[in-house]
Amino acid sequence: MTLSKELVAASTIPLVLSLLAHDDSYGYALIKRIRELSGERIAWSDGMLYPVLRRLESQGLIASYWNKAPSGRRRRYYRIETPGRQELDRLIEQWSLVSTVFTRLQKESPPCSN
Amino acid sequence: MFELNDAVIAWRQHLASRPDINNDDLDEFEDHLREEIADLQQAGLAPEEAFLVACRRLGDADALTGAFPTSDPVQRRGLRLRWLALGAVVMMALFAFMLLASRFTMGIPNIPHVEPPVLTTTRFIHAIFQIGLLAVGTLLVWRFLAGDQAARKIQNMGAASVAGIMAAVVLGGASLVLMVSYFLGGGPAMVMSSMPGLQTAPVIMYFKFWLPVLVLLSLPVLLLSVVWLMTRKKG
Repeated sequence: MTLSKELVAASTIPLVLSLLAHDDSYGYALIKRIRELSGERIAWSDGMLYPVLRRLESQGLIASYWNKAPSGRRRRYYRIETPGRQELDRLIEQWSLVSTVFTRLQKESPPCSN
Repeated sequence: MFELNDAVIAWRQHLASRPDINNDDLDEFEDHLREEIADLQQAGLAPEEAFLVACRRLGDADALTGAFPTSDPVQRRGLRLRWLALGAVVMMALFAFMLLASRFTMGIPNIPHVEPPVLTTTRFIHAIFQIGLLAVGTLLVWRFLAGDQAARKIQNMGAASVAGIMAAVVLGGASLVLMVSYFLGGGPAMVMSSMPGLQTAPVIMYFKFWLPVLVLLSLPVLLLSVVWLMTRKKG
């Protein structure tokens, strides 16, 4: 099973914000972490992450800074800002609402089966 | 023989040709690509395979900049702003030339017994100085807007604030250039008193009225745009 394109697009921002809420990180590490956590089933195409990060930064939800990577190259790290945390709370609420409704529906009425 | 480092450099150069990808972006993407290649090599891929897979995963320039339908509409505005700034400074350059020309047409001719013949040359030196100043200004504005942080800050402003700032920059810059070249040219004392032949109505009008008006005009515009910036809603 893999996620549909639409669901990937909708879940990218909450996932990125959640990851950054734990710890500052950089592009490649974010993608690797999602791959690991989803058991390789959420496979973002790497490139699509960057426009999302730019947008979140321009909205002030996250901020970026440069640091030296162990390899010696300079690396751009991202950290979550206060508005980002507030947005994350909002998104988590929305996702759990959908999830709750979904779960209840599954319990109350069995799926249609002819 | 596949040379990994050369391949990465070529890949970077290819991306660098895009106007909407700056040096910071390139550093970030290259770091990503190299990390991914290293991981793939560790998983047992040959350098060339690892490079190709990493490139495919990272995607092309359109994916990296979000130049597809779901992308951020302000992504490319930074670039347009740079051209706008360049246009504004070119306009200032034209303005400087216009000023030079106006000195001849506004009844400020070379009067042989008052002005030394070298003055025409001096005027051209002033014009060249002004153009040089404007060129430096353009470079600074260009570099400033190319900076990622600054570009993003400007991208977040409303179009009206940007227009206000541009107007302030053009008017303020023009009056600054005017004042500098005016005082380098000997100042009001020299123009107004040591050249009795120049005490014509248009000259007096020019130095006593139009010059202060221009300077005074730029101040409220500057003030307005600052107020605009301070009170704007974050969007």
